[in-house]
Amino acid sequence: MKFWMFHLMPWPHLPENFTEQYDTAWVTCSNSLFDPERGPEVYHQYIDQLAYADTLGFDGVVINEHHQNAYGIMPSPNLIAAALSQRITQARVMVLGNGLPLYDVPLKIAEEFAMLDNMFRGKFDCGFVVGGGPEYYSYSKNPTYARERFREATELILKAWTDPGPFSWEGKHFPLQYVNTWPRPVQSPHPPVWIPGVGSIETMEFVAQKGLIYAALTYSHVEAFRRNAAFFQETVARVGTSPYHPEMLGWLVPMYVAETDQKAREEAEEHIWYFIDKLLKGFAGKGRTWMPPGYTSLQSLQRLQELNDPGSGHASESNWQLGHAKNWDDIEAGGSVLIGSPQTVREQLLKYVAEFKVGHILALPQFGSLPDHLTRKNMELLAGEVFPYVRKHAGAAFESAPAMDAQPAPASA
Amino acid sequence: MTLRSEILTIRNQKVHLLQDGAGPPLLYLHGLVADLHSFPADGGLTAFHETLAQSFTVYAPALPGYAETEGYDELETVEDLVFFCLDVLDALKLDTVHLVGTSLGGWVATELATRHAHRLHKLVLINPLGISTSEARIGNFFYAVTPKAEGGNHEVRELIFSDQNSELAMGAIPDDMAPESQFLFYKAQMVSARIGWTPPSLYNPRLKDRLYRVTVPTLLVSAAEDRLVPTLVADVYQTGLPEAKLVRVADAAHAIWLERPQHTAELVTRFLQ
Repeated sequence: MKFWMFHLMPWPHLPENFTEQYDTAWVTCSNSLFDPERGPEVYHQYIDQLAYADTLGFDGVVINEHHQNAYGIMPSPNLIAAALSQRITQARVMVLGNGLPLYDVPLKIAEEFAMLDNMFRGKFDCGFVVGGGPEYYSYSKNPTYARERFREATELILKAWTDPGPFSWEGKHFPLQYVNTWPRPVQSPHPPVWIPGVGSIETMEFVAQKGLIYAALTYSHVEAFRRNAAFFQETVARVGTSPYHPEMLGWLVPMYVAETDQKAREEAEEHIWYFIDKLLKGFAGKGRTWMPPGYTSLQSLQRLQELNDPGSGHASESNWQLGHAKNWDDIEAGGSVLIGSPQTVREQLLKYVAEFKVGHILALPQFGSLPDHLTRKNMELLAGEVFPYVRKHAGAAFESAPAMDAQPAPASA
Repeated sequence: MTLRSEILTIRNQKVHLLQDGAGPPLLYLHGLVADLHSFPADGGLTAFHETLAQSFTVYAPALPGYAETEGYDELETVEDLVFFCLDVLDALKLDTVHLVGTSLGGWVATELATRHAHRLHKLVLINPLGISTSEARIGNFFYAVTPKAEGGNHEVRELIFSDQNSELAMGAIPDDMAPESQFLFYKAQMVSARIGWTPPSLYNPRLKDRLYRVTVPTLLVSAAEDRLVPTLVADVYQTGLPEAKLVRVADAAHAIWLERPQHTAELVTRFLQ
């Protein structure tokens, strides 16, 4: 059982009237809203928070890549990871991930991740991601090739790390005469590779066949995650290289813990609304859903349509998105944001961990405009009063949890 | 002759073909969205095509990825669509034809004409895509078509139709589509994105300088209120095409052949006869 601190590095200084005056925080959200006078403090505060997770005993920290938006001001997580290599000594560091199809020479990613594996002395995890729909607008990359490029770049990087170079690569998208990545990674055969997905069979099979780690990063309805977790376990049993283990699966969960349930909501609520109303604005629910043509395969689109159909029995959770929430009940209905006293949150988390057999919790303790002092208090309570309890009971819970019924899953990644 | 909708097999792939009318052969290449083969309402002809079928034998294949036609996965550039059209002409044993293209079909028709003008009698281009310059920039179609969780599809209707609230526009691209229509609509976008995603979108930077090879009489129809293909694009076409006659139609938008079918069909018929 591993507990990670996930950081999005959101821009926390959007104007008060942003929700009313602006369409979206993505792609076309003017960078005039970024304030260079406040930028350095934001970056340093966030980096300090990640370093603090190491001090508190988190198993690891996770950073990720986003472009041209206020949602996450980390276009290069590899730069942040390099900075963390000089600050973090105990915890693992994970870049989840780099958007492989967005780059024309994936060798750069193979090289940088191998560098980071050396710089972290082997305590490094990495992720390969397709990138979100908005990224294909922000970088003008053809979304109809997203999946093909992702698959090819993944194969190429794994081979670059494991086969002696130089060798040539006769790919459709990345033909290369010389693949000869210096440095090589420290870990053998390579650093753990995480791949996020929202339920497609193809992605799950790929992850299982390659022995990679599957991650749900979408703040989807807890029942949608339950279904996908079960289906992933079934997929590993069917095509995987080894039997299912909970540490093949990760789950991103916004969490806030305070002394009491009431205090937790009082302290966190406005910052959760900043996250939903401002940072998710234009991403889902209140504007664009950012599905550029071809980003989703026709097969996945059809499965999504089937699940969203009222007759499917899955429509309510399939259609639920955190970005759709209009009031506190809507947030609670999704079940995927954990807020309350240490006792409330640890019981809930243990229940989910046991039921879903998920071995990696990617906790999101800073969200929206949550200020530094509350973020740190939250992290302290998570590390001190929530995670140890769940860790202690998870093993027994995994053993005693009933087997889950796998059902075909939907969707696009 | 009555309308025939059939699936041909050409080079081991399905090709969906609509055929109607009698008279000299006319190959029609359909538009980007809301036209034949992507119009969700039914699989038939529109009034524009029915009028043409009174004077010509109209052959209207669905381009790869549209309707039942296969071959989307292999598609990379607009050149692949030119080869597709040549294969269709050969399969139908049509040596020379009148070629009429609207919107996306106008772009493909021009690409074909720059390479194989000898297969054509005359060429008609109605609001053709394919050329975009800094002064004459094609509208941001791929941004407009991104599905909206709220607010429906009005942005794309505004690009295509003069009245986005008309029965025609709402019928072609409704806000809430049935799953089957949504699927067809998305599939059509995939084809155009595959060949035309690169900004400023839906153009070939080399086409402008190849227009001199189109050595057949050409009619250019340009709608004055086209919000997808600005009228300046038609000017660039006219400048480059050796034998082009430009007709500008006032108060008309991109889908002029759908919104003003009789008028547009008369322009085409008169030119071809």
